[in-house]
Amino acid sequence: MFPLTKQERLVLVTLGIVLLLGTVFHYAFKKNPSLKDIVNVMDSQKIYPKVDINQVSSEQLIKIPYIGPVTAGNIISYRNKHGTFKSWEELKSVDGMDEERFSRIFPFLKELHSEKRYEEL
Amino acid sequence: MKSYRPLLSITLALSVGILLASVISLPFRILGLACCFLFISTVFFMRKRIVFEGLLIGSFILLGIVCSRNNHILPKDHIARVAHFYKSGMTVMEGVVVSDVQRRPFFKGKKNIFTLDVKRIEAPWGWQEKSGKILVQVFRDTPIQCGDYLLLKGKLYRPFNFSEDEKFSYREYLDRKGIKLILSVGKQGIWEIVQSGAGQMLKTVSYQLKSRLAKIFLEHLTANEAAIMIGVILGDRYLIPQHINELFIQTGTAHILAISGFNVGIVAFIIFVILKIFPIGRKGQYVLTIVLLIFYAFLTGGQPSVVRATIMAGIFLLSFLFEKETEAVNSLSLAALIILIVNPMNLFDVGFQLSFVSVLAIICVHPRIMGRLSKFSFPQDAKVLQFFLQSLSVSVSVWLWVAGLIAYYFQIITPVTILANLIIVPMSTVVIILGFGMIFLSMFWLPLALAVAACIKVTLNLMVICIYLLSQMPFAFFYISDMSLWQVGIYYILLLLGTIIVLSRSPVINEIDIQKTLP
Repeated sequence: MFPLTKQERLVLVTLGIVLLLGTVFHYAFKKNPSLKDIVNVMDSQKIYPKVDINQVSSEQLIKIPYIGPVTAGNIISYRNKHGTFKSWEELKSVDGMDEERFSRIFPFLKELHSEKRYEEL
Repeated sequence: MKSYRPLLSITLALSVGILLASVISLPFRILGLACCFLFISTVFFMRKRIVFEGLLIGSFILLGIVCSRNNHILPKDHIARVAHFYKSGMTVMEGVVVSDVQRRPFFKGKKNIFTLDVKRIEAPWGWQEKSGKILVQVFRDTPIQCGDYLLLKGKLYRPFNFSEDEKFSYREYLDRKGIKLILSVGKQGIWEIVQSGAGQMLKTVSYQLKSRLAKIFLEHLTANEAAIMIGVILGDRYLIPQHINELFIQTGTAHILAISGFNVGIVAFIIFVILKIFPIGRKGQYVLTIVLLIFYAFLTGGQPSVVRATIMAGIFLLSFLFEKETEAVNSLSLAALIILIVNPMNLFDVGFQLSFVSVLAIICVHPRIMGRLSKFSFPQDAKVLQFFLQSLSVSVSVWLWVAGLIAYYFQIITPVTILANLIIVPMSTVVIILGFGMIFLSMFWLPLALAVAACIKVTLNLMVICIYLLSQMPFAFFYISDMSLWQVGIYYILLLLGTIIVLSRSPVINEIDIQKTLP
C-alpha cells in the first residue's frame, strides 16, 4: 500500500468523520426542511447590520444597499432641516426614497424610538 | 546568529523609488541612463563593500522611479490617446477578453464586466489598429468568456470618481491596473463573439476551470453561502453581499475572505497527498507542486496576497530541493520585489499593503512576544494553552500593525478583532478545508460532495452567527473621522518605538515553530 505519514492518516480519518457527519446533516435537512431554515442564517435578515436612521452618518448610510451618495445626502439634509425622523412615512417623503426602495432598506434600520413607544402603549 | 537580509534593503530602495517617482520631474531618458550607469558602476566597486552597497541601493531607487514612470507612459497607438474624439456618440471596437467575466446582479437581470485588450477601433475613415486595456460593462447576461475576440459598440468614457475621498479614487484604482477607459454596452449597444480562444491559453483554461468550480458551490449551496466559498477558495469576492462584507469589516475578520498563505498551504498539501499515488521522486513532487501552485495563483486572479503566498511557498519548497535554509524576511522581500517590478503601482494597493504588513508583523513581532511570554513558566504538556498563547500573540501583532492602515483606508477601529480572530480563524480554517474537500470529491462522486456541502452549510452559518454576535458586543468597533497620512505616520513611528523599547531585549523563539503560524 502507499506509505502514509501520521499526518496523512489523520487526514483520511478526518475525511471519514466529515463524510459521516455530512451525510447525517444532509439527511436531517431533507427530512426536516425547517431545520435547514434555522441553520441558514446567512440568507435571513437576522444578521443585517442595523443602523439608527436618526444618528447614522452619511458615510455609514452609503454602506446600506440601495442607498447612494445622493439619497444619503438627502436623508441627512432632511434630518438637519426637520429634526429626527418620528415615523417611517417621514423617511419615505425624502427625495429619492419611494415605497420600493424603502422596503429594500427597511431590514437594515433599527426601529424608531417613537414607533416603539406607540406599540408599547 | 544575525540573519542576512540583502533583499530587504533592495526592496525598500525600490519602494522609495516608486514613491519618489511622482515628485521627481527629470526626463525619463536621463533617469534611465543614470540607472544604467549606477548598475554598471556596481560591477567596478564589488570589492569595496560600502560603496558597492550604496551604489546598489541608489540603482534600485532609480529603478523604482524608472519602472513607475514607464508604467505611466502610453504607447503611441494607445486607445486613451484618441478617446476624446469619441466623447459623443457610440464607439465600435474589437478586442480580446483578457480577464475573468464577472456576472453581477443588476436590477432584475445581470451585467457582465470584463477587461478588454483593444485591437482596433472604427474611425470615419476605416478601422485603426489600437492597443490598451479598457473595462467593459455589458448590461445583459452574455456567454462571453475569457479569450473571446469581440466586436463591441457602446459608449466610451473616462472612469468617474464616485466620492471626493482621494483614498478610494475609482479612476486611480483602474489606472493602477492599466485601465484608462470604460466602455458601456447598453440596450443600444452591440456585442458579438467573433472568435473564441483568441487569448492566452493559460489564462483562458484557468478562468474556465474557475467558472466550473464556482458552479459546484452555486449548485449545492445557497447564493450567499456559495458567494463566500467562491471568495475564499477561488478569489472572486464580488458576489458577497455588502451587509455580510460589512460584518467581516466590523469585526476585523475581512482578511479571511482574501486568499492567503493558508489557502496556498492547503492546496500544496492536497497536491502532495495526490502525488504520492504516482511514482514520482521527492524532487519531482516539489517541482510539480510549485507548478500547480503557480496555476492556482493564475486561477484566483493573481491578487497580491496570493502571489505573495505562492512565491513564499515556492521559495520554501525550492529550499528543500536545493537543501538550503530560507530566511522569512528575505523570502517576503523577494515576493514584494517581483510584484513591484511587474507592476510598481501595486505599492499603493490596499491589499498589497495589508498583506505584507501583516506577514511582516507575524515574522518580526510575534516571535518576540512569544519570547517575552516564554519567561513565564507554563506546564510543558499544556498544548492547548500554548496554542492559545501563540494565536493570541499572532492576533495582537497583526492587529497593532494593520490598525493604522485600516483606520486610514476604512475609517474604522475594531478592538474586537483580537477576540474575533481567536474564534473565527479556526472556524474559517475548517470552512476552507471543507471547501477544497468539496471541490476535490465532486470530481469523483457527487454524493460525497453533497455530504461535505452539508458540513460547510452548518460550519459557515455558525461562523457568520459568531461574527454577527461579535459585532453586536459593546465597543466592538467604532467609526472615526478621516485620518490623514501624517497621523498614520505618527502612529507607526510610535508603534515602532514602542515595539523596540518593549520587545528589543526579548528572545526570539525557534524559527521552526514560527513557520507553523505563517499564513
